[in-house]
Amino acid sequence: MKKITFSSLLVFLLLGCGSDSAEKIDDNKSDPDPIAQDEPVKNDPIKVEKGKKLFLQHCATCHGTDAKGITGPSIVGVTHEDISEAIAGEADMTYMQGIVLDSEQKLIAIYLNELKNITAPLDGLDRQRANLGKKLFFDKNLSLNKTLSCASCHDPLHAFIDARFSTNPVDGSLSVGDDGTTLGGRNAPTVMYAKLAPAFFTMDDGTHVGGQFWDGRAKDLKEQAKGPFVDQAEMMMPSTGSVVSRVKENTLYIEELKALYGQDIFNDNDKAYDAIAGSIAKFEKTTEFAPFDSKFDRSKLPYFHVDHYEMSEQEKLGYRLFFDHSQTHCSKCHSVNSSTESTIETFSNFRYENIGVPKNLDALLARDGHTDKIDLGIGGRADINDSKHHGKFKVPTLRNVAVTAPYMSNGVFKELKTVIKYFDYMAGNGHTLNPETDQPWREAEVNATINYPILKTLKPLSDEKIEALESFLNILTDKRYESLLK
Amino acid sequence: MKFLTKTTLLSLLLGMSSLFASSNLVDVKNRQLKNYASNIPSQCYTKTEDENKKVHNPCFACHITSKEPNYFDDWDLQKEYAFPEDALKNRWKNLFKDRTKEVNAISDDEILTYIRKDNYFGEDGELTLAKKLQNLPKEWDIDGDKKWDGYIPDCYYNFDEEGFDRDTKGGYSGWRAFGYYPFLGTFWPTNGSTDDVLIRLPMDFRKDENGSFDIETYKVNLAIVEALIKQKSINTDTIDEKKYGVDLNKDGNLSKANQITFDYDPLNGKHMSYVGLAKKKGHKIAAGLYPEGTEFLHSVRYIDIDEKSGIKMASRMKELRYGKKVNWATYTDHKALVEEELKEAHDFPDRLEVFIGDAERGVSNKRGWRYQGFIEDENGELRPQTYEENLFCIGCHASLGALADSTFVYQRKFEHGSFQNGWSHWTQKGLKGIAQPKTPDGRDEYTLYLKENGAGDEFRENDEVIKKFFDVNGTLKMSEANKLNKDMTHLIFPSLARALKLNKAYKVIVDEQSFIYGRDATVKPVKNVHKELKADESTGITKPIRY
Repeated sequence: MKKITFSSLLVFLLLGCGSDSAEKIDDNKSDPDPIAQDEPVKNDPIKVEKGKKLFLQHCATCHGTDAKGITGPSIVGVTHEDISEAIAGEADMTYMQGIVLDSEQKLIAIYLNELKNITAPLDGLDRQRANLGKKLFFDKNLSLNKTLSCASCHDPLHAFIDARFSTNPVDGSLSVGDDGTTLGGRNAPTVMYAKLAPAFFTMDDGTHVGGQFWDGRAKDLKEQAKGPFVDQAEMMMPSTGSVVSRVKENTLYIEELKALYGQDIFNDNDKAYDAIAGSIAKFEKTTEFAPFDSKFDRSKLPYFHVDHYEMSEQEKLGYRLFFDHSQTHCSKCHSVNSSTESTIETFSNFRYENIGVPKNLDALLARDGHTDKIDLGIGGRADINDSKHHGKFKVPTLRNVAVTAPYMSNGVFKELKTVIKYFDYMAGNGHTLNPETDQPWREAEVNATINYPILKTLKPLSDEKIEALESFLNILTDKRYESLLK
Repeated sequence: MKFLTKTTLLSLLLGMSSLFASSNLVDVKNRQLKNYASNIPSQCYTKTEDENKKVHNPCFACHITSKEPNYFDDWDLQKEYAFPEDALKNRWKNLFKDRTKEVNAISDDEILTYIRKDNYFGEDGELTLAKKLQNLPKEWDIDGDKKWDGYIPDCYYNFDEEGFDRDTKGGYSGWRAFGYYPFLGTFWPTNGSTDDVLIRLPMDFRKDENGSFDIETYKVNLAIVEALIKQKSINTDTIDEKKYGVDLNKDGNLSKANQITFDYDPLNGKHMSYVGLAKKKGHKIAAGLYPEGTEFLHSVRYIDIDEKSGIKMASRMKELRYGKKVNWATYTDHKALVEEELKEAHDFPDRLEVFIGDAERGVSNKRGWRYQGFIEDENGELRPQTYEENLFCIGCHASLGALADSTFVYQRKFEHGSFQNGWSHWTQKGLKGIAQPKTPDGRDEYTLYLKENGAGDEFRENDEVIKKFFDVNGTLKMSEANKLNKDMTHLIFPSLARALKLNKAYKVIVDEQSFIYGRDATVKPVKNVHKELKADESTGITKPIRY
């Protein structure tokens, strides 16, 4: 695995980069796609960052921080040629002559192209592949007993989490597998905004960034999609070959996979499985999974915009606290932008941390019959196996957090407020009882690696501040899930 | 370079194009759509209400009571423009162009010379396009495998007295031409083009049980498929059932049959069977469905004129359209697809459908059929259609009440007893002297269309038909309509002058290669078409036509 310096990581994360761009850094040379000409152009992250700064400085006033247009039109994805023609007079923008130099226009165009890669709907071959991926995502025939699809544990009506609460013995902390009894390893995370996580990579200080699953063991969405089919606690198919065979039972799938990945796609099982997972990943890269239309995003629109949302006083307080490094440090891990920058905010730096989460004893007992097992997170991965990283899990995005309970990698907390109080407790500021049990918080699952240097800097949270933070987290809910808010 | 405007660059390219053999204006490999709603045809944007609030209904031609296993019973779509948000804007902008100048610049001689030049056969009699596809140009190789994975033309347009296509050595290509009642509106020559349709069943249907090619077996299988698609018994020449071991007329004996009896109700033990190798191999069979592997070839051509006989098909093809049934979809599959579409449209009314395919393999209609086409490049040579241009096929060949297993005209084939028993190409016998068809409930179909639509085309732009068939108040002249019961060409054939004008108007689109903005041969900007619609806007049609 090629390593990367921290400064380039920062640049990279500041972009809110998708995994497509990350693949360049990851130096993954094997491209299993036989038809790859429609992949988006991969931009140099440093140029993107420079372009973004110039864009915010010169363009955002009229075209909006998301470039979708305010008084000026949407300029997402415009080319350098378009910009120079506009400034030369075609779009009546001659007043920008001499202000934005040609070299700067180039950089702005690179940023706008990157913005298109992240936010624009998929097009061409990708659009078609995503359409096939969508069908596969919802197909229960691809599990052993034909009872589970991807959507069973990632329900689109509930921000793509496992919402089978009434039939789940542990309140959704762990998902029930295809046999109706086996419980999975960890709390199924939302697929919303998962596409924003960069492909997994290791920094030169040995820490890790990006990837999918709580421990990042899947490099990207495609690798992630390969997991659950053959996981013996999830869809329980005996082999990848058996998944391909199930897919081939549907003649329409055969037809479409051949059309989208080449006539000979079924000659090689690995390639076929790769194509199946690849198309699901494309579906997860569609705008369905990243609408950026929460009240928070809408609050970033200018006040005269028809969709503008004006935060309440309480939400404003929460917003300020969230981004205030002298108060909460929330944004240190749960943000890659400053509070004033554009709306393409991931609410995660996709790094790995141990915040001392206690075991979920009920879930462990229900699953294993005992509570002995310790989840070492990324540090327990066979390929990492490093005690320095024991107990560390990927920082989740906070988009839709209010509607995606339970919380933490093991689903130990049921309420969002509990999580905020838990942080206050870990900072040593009080809140010594778990409000869900009225008992003292249980000991951390892994003690040695807890990131106290950050946790301890959190200033005490009054009830008012906790309420404010919760209100702010509520407005990170996408428009379509607002009805799920309590 | 900066001094060159886009227009001068374009005209420069246009000028240069004649120097090259292949198309330069269109990138065949392109999969990026300009019009995401390109599967919604231009006709669907027609203004059904005129300035006097009079309502016109051309919609029922397609959106009509369906027949099982077509469960898309969409007659109610006559009532409103139920489009997704992105389709509300009409992107068929060619309709709104004024081409008077360009059309006037083309002389009659010029256009006649052009349309009479064959672009399917080379001067040596070779199939030009087929030859090109066999030595695939790089710019057409979508997946980079150096071979064309789609249809390679193999029809010789050389038909015998039974409608079979014969190659240069007299062999059978498998294609068979049939005469049919042209579909309502757009496909009438008076609205732009002439066309023909050929059918071909897979090889197993052309062989006897021993696996030898047998033309008689093929004829019987085609008749069986005709009965299945029309869902009615059809008359035939005498068939010796003993030869095939199938009781085709269902009289209880293996006898001499003059009929393929339609009697299909498998849940009550009533089955039908193919004959020959197709029967032996157990190919799937069901009422209303074609066998897997069935192909259709549809050439769309300019209108040639003949001082003696009037209107005829031109040698030059505008398009060569091809469809193949690559998958068998069961009744349940068909039902599930419709239910899925209805649910999707209900839950997410603004989402656009995505269809899978490309220029090389064509586009899948989700019902087992794959469609692809070839169209003229700026030099008049046939080239593959792009993905977006292929989507144009899907607009009609996917979800419509009028379809039978995704097709339009095999169910409208002329009956046994007509010229060559309905197995003939238009070049063998034209449409002159043939009476208009009846609707399933016995009405005169073309008269009904004229009456409901108040015109002879969806856009109500065909002045010639309006002048001939309607009085100043827009009322249908029954004296004229009744002539259709003797000869449908009274309506569907244009005058010679109109034919020339239509050819010229389309030729301008070919020069521009602007097919993705519409292929309708109009000269003046159309008036009766919406440029933009409101969501779920009513058509004003309160009494939809149902059969």
